[in-house]
Amino acid sequence: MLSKINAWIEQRWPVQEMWKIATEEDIPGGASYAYVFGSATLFLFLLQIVTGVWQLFYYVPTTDHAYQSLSFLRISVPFGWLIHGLHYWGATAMVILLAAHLARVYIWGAYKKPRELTWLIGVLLLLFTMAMSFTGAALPWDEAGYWATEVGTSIAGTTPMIGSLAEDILRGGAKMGQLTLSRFFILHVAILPAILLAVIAIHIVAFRQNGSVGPWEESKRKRVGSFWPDQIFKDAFVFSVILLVLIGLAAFFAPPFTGAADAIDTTFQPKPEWNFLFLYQAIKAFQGQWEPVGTIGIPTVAFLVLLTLPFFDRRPERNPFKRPVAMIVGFVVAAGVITLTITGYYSRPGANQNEANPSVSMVTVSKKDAPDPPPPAKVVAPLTAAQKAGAKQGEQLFTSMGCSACHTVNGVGGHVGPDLSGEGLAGHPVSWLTTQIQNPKSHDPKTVMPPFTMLSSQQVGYLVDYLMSLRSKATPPTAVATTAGATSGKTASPAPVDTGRVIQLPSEVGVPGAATNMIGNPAHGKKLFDANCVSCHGADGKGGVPNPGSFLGVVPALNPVRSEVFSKDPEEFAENLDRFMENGAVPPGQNPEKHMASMSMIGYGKTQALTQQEISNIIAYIMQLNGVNRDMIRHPGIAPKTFFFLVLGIFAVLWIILGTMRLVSTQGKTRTSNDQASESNK
Amino acid sequence: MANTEEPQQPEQIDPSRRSFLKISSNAIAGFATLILAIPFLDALISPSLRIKIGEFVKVGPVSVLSDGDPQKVFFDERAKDAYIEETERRDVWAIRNGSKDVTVFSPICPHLGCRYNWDPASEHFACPCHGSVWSKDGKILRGPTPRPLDTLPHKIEGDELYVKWERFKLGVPKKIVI
Repeated sequence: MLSKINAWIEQRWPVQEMWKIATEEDIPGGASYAYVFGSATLFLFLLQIVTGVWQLFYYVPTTDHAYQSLSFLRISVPFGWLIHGLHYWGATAMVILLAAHLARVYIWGAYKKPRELTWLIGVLLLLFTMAMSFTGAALPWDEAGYWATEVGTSIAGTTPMIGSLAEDILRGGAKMGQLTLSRFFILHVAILPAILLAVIAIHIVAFRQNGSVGPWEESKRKRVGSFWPDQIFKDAFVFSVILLVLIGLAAFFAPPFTGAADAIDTTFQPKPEWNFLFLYQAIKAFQGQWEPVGTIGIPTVAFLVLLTLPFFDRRPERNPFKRPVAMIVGFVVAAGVITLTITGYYSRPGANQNEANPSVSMVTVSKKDAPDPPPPAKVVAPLTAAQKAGAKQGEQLFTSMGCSACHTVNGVGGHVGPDLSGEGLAGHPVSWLTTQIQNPKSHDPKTVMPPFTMLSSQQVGYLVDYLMSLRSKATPPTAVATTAGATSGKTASPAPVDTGRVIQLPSEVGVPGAATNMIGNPAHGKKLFDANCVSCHGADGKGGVPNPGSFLGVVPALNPVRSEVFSKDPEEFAENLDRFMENGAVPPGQNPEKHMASMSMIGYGKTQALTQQEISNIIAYIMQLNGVNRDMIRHPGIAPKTFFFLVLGIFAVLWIILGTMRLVSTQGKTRTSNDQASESNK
Repeated sequence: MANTEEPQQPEQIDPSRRSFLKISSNAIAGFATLILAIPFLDALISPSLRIKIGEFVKVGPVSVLSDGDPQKVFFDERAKDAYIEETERRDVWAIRNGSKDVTVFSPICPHLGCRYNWDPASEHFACPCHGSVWSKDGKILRGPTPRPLDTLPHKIEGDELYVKWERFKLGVPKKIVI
């Protein structure tokens, strides 16, 4: 039955003949592990296609979803970590194997007549592979990829004459944005792979036209091995080792989450993919107007030289020991590229720029107040200057921005800064107050007051109106004598809180923002935390900063975070934190009807004081302080390390069986003595 | 199958006429492809070359800036990225010199587009990417930057500072608006 089907197909499509064409190939000198690099690169390319296509089931190429959709694949899809990890490390391995393949061909002199075209096409393949690497890096739209693309396309833009046009076409406009991502996406998943497939086919046909080159010594070439099964056995062994190594890398060295791309970020230090580091490092040698020579000129010339190598190195001699010039040049170039790559990897050009943010040193000052018992809750005195239109809004802002953490107004608030109860009589003009809010260091360079640059000029105006309206130096009435209007200024605060609750629950403060589903970068988050959060939550989130009037008496610590907010589940934990980051919070106070905490938290997301990307980084950092990894894999399929050892076991068993089969088959067959010598099975 | 039939007509065509036919039909096909390629290339290239002209946006009161110290100031602007229109946060470096004179620098490194920082200790602007350094007034001190920091067009009305957001071609010595 089976043979009938075979015969039927054979009549219509030459299966046998195709198999013969594909496998019956003589290898002068016999099969060798030295010849595996080309086919290993091809194997990796096919692996990249499979893992790439699988990622496309989840990945969305838009600026607002790319990072999140990839994160979802990596964390919430079973074996998503494996598929992405294989693709990420496979790209690296492909470049390395391609370089090894190129070096092997160079040393063996396999580019010489009649194989010039094979070489030339191979160099084109190298170029397209680098293009794949460059376009692929942009697709996660994370910090690393975004900035590498920004710099990389800018370099293309410095090419004389056509640079600007090339850059604009690559980016889809003058600046990076959605069109850039769309273009890189279509290049990476459709155009370049199609070109690569076609050019690989041409490369292989060109290779088969003249066959394998074999050893350079004529004597060794006499013995002839065959592709099937000798070389295929070695190839298959190497492929499986590569796959095993890649699975190991994916399991033990997951690609980093560098945080979602943030175009106004200055803390991230961009570097290109490792395989472009030698160019990155080379830029530094060429400064000013000479730079295009380094970034464009030398790479272009180097590429053209590589491309046309067989046409000016026309001596037929292949023995590397008789080609000293070629060997020395090759060695120098390789050593140069490797050295530049390593120095590029370790270079930190902007390392001295870490303390750019001025508001770090506030904690110690605030902590002085810690021993003070919180003063009894007081009521804000009735506004004497209702005629000032903005005063009421200013009062709201004064509360929501947490001004009273440091400033006392009418007996309520902290003592870090001056008492502002009588500010309207203090004699500071409007302009002075405006400056003080927006840039306090201009009045006193040593002040610990942070600049409130996130406020619009209108908001600052309201605050100043409010401050000018504060004219009472008298001690205000006690808490009992409240009127309904006295705190009406706080109506913008989040929903009222149950009496007796110590903090607001995450569900009470409002809905989370986009940052909830962004996997932040904790290292980056620490910098932001130190700049924005320590003044209230303490260094490393340890808390202890007083918040008079609140039930707790202090600002809640974040390390460890309160049980109402904590969750072992990273997504739930992140969401809880983000509700606060997005909407802010008003701590319940000692006076149950009116939460009279002197400090409340602003909604960093809602007010755009921080970008969603920045918020996601801070969340990742706070979670890390509490021992929860934001990037923990929730649905691994099989846990990465377990999976690796499982695969290792299967690998060992299969190769013991295959190796035995091979030993038996080579002993059973009568083979030339030469062949047997070369068949040392591993 | 038909090899036993009478000799076919095409065999008798003059070889030179044959190659002429071949060349001319290929040329016509190629020409048609070229013509057809125009709309496709236009679709690919033209949207990339649109120039967006910015407008002056109110940033805030000048008196707020401290005299002589660079300060990062933020403002929001409606911006359109292809079909996505949203409020984008812009940041610029502003330095007030005296009462009315303000210098506004674009926050983008003129070298290759990173965001540079102000280092208050050394009183220099420095870029984290490739190590370019500028003085407070934007002059090149060292590094691969091809030109001084880019100033942005701005005006002062009353006490209010207005800035026009612009971007410039990167990596070239001349400052060209893009």
